[in-house]
Amino acid sequence: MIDYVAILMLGLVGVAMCATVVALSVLFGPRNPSRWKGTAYESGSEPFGDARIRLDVKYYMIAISFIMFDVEAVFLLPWAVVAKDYGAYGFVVAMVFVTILVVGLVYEWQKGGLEWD
Amino acid sequence: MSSLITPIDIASTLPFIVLCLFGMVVLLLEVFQRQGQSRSYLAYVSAVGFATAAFSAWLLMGVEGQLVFHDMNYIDGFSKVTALLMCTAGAVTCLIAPRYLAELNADRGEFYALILFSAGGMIMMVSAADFIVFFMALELMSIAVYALAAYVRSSRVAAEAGFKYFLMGAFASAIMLYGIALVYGATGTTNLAAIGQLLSYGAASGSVDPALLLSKVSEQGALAGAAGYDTTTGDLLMLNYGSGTANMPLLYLGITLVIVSAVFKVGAVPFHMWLPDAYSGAPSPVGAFMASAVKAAAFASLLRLLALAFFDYELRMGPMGWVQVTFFLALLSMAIGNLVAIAQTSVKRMLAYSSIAHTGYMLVAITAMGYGVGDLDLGASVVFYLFAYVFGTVGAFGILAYLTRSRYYVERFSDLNGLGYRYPALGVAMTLFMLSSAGIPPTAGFIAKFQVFKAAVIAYGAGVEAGEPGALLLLALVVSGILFSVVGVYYYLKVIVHLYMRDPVREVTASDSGPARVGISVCAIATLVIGLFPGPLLNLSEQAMSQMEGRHDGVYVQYEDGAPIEDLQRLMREGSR
Amino acid sequence: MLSLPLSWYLMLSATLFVMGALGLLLRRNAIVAFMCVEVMLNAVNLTFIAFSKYHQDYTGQVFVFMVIAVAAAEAGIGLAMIVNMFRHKHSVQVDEATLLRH
Repeated sequence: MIDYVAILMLGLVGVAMCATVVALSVLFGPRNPSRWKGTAYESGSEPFGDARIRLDVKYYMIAISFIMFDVEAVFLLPWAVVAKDYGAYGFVVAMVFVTILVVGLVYEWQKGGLEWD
Repeated sequence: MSSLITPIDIASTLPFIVLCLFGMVVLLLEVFQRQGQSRSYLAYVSAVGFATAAFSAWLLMGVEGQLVFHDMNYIDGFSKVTALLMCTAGAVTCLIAPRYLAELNADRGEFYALILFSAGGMIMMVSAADFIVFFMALELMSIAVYALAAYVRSSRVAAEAGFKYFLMGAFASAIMLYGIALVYGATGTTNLAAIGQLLSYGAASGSVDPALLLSKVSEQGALAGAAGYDTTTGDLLMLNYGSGTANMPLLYLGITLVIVSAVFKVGAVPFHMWLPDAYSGAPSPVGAFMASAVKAAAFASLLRLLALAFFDYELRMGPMGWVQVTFFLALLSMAIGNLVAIAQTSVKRMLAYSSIAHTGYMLVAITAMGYGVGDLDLGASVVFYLFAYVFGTVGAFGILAYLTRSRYYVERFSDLNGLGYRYPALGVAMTLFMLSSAGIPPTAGFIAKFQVFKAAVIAYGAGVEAGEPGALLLLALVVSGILFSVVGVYYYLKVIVHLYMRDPVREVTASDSGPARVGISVCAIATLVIGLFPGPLLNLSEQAMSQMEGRHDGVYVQYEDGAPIEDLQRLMREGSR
Repeated sequence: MLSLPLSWYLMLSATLFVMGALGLLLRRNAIVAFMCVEVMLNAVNLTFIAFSKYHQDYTGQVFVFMVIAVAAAEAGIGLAMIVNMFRHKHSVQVDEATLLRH
């Protein structure tokens, strides 16, 4: 049971930090409300409405990048679980994997795939 | 820890590693170079990559065939010989590309990177010892080729062709995966050779040594439970688990799905609808690559799959055996491929349909290989045919890419009018490729067709000797194959007629591209030399088959309803004691 | 603990797979057709996991990792191709892709 105290602490610290940040900005932040700032996601899309609208092509570009780099977790997570057992050897192998991903990232970056416009 | 990667693992996958490294280097060179500068030097970089990979495959020739990477890969004669084939096709593709791409304003490094990655996938695929690696490599190959098919972004045709190709390919991959899942369910393993053994014992052949299976099972540890073989009771669970006997239909369904999707990838009738669009819609260099390397890889992996996992007598010759399937596919592919090719006005589409016909010829050899007793060495004719086919096809597509008519694809028959006199060397090369595809001596294609039909006749002889039913059908297949290749001569000769006997069209000119010339010459010389001196290549392809590791040679048992299964269980029980 | 028999999982995944396959063949919208491929792949994943549990063998689950990765790669290339096709035609209907029909 004592093991879970750490998790409890983590949760409490997390909540406290969030609350502090929000409270500070409420207390000290300047306020100039406008219609656009009032939307749910500033410069994002409306969260309510017909689901069958046509989305901007840029969203698909983001989706592509997201999918590519999202799935690496599938391979890194099992390694993380056994990382201690495999030691330096496992680390090197995982780094080979990450290096290949980085090559892809560098390519995308240089090609401008990470820019919104 | 016992799971360390050993130097031999690395060394044996060197061709793959080299190709992938070169692919990444090419990608980085592309992005760190200023826009607007010529990228055509990357063609040489990738050609060097292919040469290095081929050289490392050559160096590995001396290494004894074995399993590497925790039983995930084979390094054996088959994988090395086919790696040489893929590297050649890839290198020639890279050489014919730069001029063509520059003209379409698509001179970018990604093209070469994708070719390199795709070829890496092919090499991995034909050396796979496990469905996991097989599937990953298949996808590495396919996904790169999907992107290549839609590579010229300014072309609407390419965009459509690419998307259709992608959708069909993804569909086929999903079907293959489902098949693999069912086979895994029935056998408990994804290892090709283990599947072959287990299915064979499951299908009961009295002449196998149960002790061998037991040792295999205990040796591979996890397999013991996984294989569904209960060592305490000696029951083959795979025959009676789940809801009674329901798993046998599942197993057959799985095998059927795997084979169907493999056949889909090689483009045999009736699974060929995507192929003409994909080959003719894609840019010519990509068409060359798809028609040669991709098809060769698909065929080689089909050979490996059948030889390792699905070569049991019952699976081949039983009531639902795949020999009957390949028989009809071969017949249909030869018929439809050749007949529809006649009607084409576009050379590219003609080549696409002729490649369907070639698929048919190779399936004749695969049918022969699986027929009756089952002789895997007959598969050597497929390997030989692939070499002949690859040189002829890459060359022909290469010439189409080499010709230019102010930003239009050169692809109609009439575009070739009179070029034979204006460009004698080009005319001779194209003539050679067409003769080879038609199977006329003294070219490689002739020897290849001869080998394929010879294999079928040998299988016919063996079948008659063993009293197999329907051996005569095999002979009928050979006869129809020969008749259809005579039909095929018509449209191949049509190209030659246009080259030499029609008034020239002014707009079409040959481009001035050194690398393309080198690539096409290599193909032309290879076509001729293999035709004149087939000996070394015949040896090489025979070696490829005879040195295929883990191959499951057919066990010939004639048995009657149900009895052998009990027999096997008894034998296994005795063996386990 | 109560556990469902293997055949239930297999029936569910077979249903999903067939739904995906039919959708791919029948639906005309490129994005929907593409989603159907994903449904098929996930049906396969379910089959693998069910068999993996049944055999007490991890190979099936390792295979699922690979399938997930490949599905992501396919999604990437597929979306890129749809975007590319849309730029040319301002439509994602598959049956409007008729340029190659001769």
